[in-house]
Parts: sequence; structure tokens; C-alpha cells
Amino acid sequence: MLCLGIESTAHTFSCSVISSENDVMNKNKYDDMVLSEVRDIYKAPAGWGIHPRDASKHHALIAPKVLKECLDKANTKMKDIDLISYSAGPGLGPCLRIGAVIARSLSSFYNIPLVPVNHAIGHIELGIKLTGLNNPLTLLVSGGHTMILVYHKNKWRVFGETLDITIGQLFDQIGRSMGFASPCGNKIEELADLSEKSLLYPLPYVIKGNDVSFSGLLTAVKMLIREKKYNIRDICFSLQETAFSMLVEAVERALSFTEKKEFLIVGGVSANARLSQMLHLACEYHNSVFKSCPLQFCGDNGTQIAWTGLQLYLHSSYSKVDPEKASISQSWRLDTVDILWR
Amino acid sequence: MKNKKLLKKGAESEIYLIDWYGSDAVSKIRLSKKYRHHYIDLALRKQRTLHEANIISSAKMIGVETPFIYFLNLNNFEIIMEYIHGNTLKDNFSPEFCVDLGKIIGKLHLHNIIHGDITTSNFILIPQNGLVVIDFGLSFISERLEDKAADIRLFKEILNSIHVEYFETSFENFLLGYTEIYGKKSLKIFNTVNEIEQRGRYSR
Repeated sequence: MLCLGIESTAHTFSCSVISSENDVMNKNKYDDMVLSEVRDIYKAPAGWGIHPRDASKHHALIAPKVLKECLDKANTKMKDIDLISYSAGPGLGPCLRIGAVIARSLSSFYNIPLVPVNHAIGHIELGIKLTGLNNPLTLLVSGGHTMILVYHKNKWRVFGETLDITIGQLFDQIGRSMGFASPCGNKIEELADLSEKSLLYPLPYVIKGNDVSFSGLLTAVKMLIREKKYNIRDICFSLQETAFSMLVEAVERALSFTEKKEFLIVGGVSANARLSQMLHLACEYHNSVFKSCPLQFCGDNGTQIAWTGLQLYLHSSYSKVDPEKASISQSWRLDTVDILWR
Repeated sequence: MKNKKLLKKGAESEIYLIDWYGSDAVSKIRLSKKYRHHYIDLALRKQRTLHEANIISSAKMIGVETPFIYFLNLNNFEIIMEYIHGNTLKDNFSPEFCVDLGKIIGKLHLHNIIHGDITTSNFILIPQNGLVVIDFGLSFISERLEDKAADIRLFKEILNSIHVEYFETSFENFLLGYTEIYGKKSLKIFNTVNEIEQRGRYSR
């Protein structure tokens, strides 16, 4: 069975074709399942974030090219596809609509079943698939999410989360105030690595039980930057150390409470080496296995949508929707999605 | 203090059963975390140890069952306190205990003590004697409604993830017990709980 996944929640437009027959996978070998994946990422101007209108314009312009390239690489034709899944939320409305329009049209023209997928569930489920874990405590860190999750009774339950902004937003907003374009996580990590790492500015450290809050940290760092007398590398270093310590502490609390022996980190921010290193140390202390989503699938991608759509389609008869009823939802919490294959 | 027996490896501390001048006692030591920058590490361990010891004592004064503090060693980030026999609420969970839990939190909040970490593993159940609060590591003093509400939201989150099969009766019982002690003003706090939830990501 061939499944086409279409992802368009934020800055990434991506298509992917996966095959269910080939889903027996060796470690570090995704080629069997993933026949092809093509991404095109909207680049914001320096100092700016993702403008929903501009990003959706970008998606609409490159979509036909990405889709065609994806099908060609997979060596298949649209009429041979058995299932179409698209990311229906959460995300930016205008961007989501582009993906949904394309999915709807393809579905009704070629008469192919259509499945809407929760983008965040896609991150988690693909991460679990690729790392071969069974039932891990999961940390989802990206521009849209900062959540600690446990699977329990047919749903991914939120054990802890951010009370205000996400870690991705924190990094992006600080990066933008230094003149970079979103996403800025990479730049901040590079600058922090250049710091001499001896000086740490005291910054707000807010942890409430299993929840974290980054808004105070954002204001404090912005003020440091505005004063212009502090070294920008040391600021980035202090920011990373403080924000990640909060996250790792929340994870440690969850590990100690749930006594899970597996841990998984997924989402765009899992590409950060320092965060992985800190989490690794914490997992070692609690005798848990640490796994991270493979780097190439950290960011938003079509494969996570295709894989999750396939699972939904195979295990739940309700998941299929008629093209005229295929909608999007900008705020679709992942703890409302029924998981029937675990 | 020769015979140290590890009782529990917590998130931020290790709990040992020790002999304290002839009787059983618990030693709670906040260890250094390898992953943390030493500046953050030292500040957190020192501040939390001191806070915890203070607040355990103040809670006792207002009639909330907590362990007796025997000794505080700030150089070692260690608190030595009474050993409470019994199982945690997490291991013996039942919705009926949540009334008691609500009363305890109500009483703490009435005196502006915010627990900061209301999880079911932080309460020890003593048959015929109710609940003992054992962990005040994230506690602080505040009279803000926001802080009290955040405290309650935390408990709601735990119920909703780990004890989800009893969520509704448990939370209702909790609110019942809480209101009994805190009085009419509790309604304002419950509204703030909803407000905080609305502020969360993607909740509408």
C-alpha cells in the first residue's frame, strides 16, 4: 500500500510517499519504508518570523513542483497511490489550508481515501517508529510544542507542558531581536558554542511541578541584548543552559514519577546537541534508555504525516473523511486524538 | 550514620534511611546534577534545601501533617527528618482520598503556602490517620490567586494523565475538600485555573 503524506503546518511544505509493505526496517535504514521525501522551506527575511500570508504564498507556488518531484523520485504515479494523508493542524491557518486544498483535490479527482492527521502526533509516532522504542516517555520540543507526554489508555497524555510560550518560540523571538530570521535555534546554538562558557548571566528559572514557563526568561534575555554591553555569545550560552536545565528537570521529574525505562525526544529542537547531551546524562542517572529522533526527521516532514495517516487508516474506520468535509483546525490539541494501534 | 539504605532515587534528590541517635530517620540529599551548569546547580540546591526545611516546619505549625525536621546541613544540601512509614498515594490511589488532599491543600493555601508539586507520590497514606505531605522542594510563600491556581492545575494535570480513569470523581472530591477549608473565595481560584488552561498552547 502506498501512502502520500502532505505537510504544510508552518514554514515547511513537504510531500512524502511511503510503502506499507516495506515497513520491516533495519536500524538506521529508512530507505525501505520511505520511497521518497521532498521538502521546501519558506525563508523569512532577516529579523523576521514566519509571516502566515507569505509562507502560504510560498507553499502554493512550490507545491506542484514538490509533489511532482516526490512522485518521480518514488517512481510512481498519482493514480497508483492508495491513501492520501495531510496535516490538518495545529499550525498556521493559511499554510494548513494550502496542504488541505491540495489533498482534497487529489483525493476527489483520483478517488483516493483521505485522512487528516494531527501534526504533533506525527512527530511522536514517526519518532517511535524510527527508534524502535516500545512505550517511551516523550519530550516534544518544537516551534509549536513543548510537552512531556506519556501514552496511557488510548491517548498521548500531557504530563507536563509549557504554561506560555514554547522553547522554539523563545529561541526564535530572541534570535529575531538579534537580527536573525526564524527559525533561529541553529544560530543560537552556534553562538553559544563560541562562548568561553565561564560566564553565566543569572536568568529566571521557572518550573512549576512538571510545567515550565519561558515568558520571564524571554523578557530578561531581550533586556540583556538591548543593553548592548554584554557579550552576545555569553548571552546565548546562558540562555541555553537555563532553558534546557528547566526542561531537563521537568523530564527528570516525569521519569522519576512514571518510572519509564525509555525516553524519546522529538521535534525541531531535538536537533540541538547540548539539549541531547543534557537529557542523555539525566536518563543515565535514572537508568532509562535515551533515544532521539534521527536528525533528518527532526524538523517538519511529510513522512511523519504519511506514516501516521497510514496507521489511522489501518486501525480506525472513523479516520477517513470525505473531501468536502476535510477541514483544518489551527488549535488541535494532541491529547484529544485517539490512538488505536498502540 | 554508618548504615545508609537508599529508599528512593528522586528527580532532584536521593532519600536514605538512616539511624539518627537510635531511631529511624530519613536523609534527603540534593545531589549535584552533571547536566547542569555549576552556577545554576549550586543556586537551586541551596535555595531549595533551605526553603523546604523552613516550609515543612511552617506547615506543621498550621496543623498540616509533615515530617519533623531533625537537622539541616546546608554544606551538604541535606535535610534529616522523621521517617514516615506507609505507602504513597500514588501506589494506593483511590478517589476518596482526594477529599483529604483537597483539605490539606486548602489549608496550606489559606496560609499562603504554595506546595508547588502536588503529585500523588508526594503524599504518604497512614491508615486511620490521613495523609502526610512529604515533599516541599518546590514550595514557596505567595498570596497571589495565580500561584494558588497554578498549584491546583498541576494536580489536575497529574490526574488527567496518570490517574485518568478516576479523573472526574477525584477532582470533584478535591475541590469539595478544598472549598470546605478555603471557603467561598475558592471559586475565584477555580476560575483562575480555567484561565491558566486557556492560556496554554492550542486550547480553545
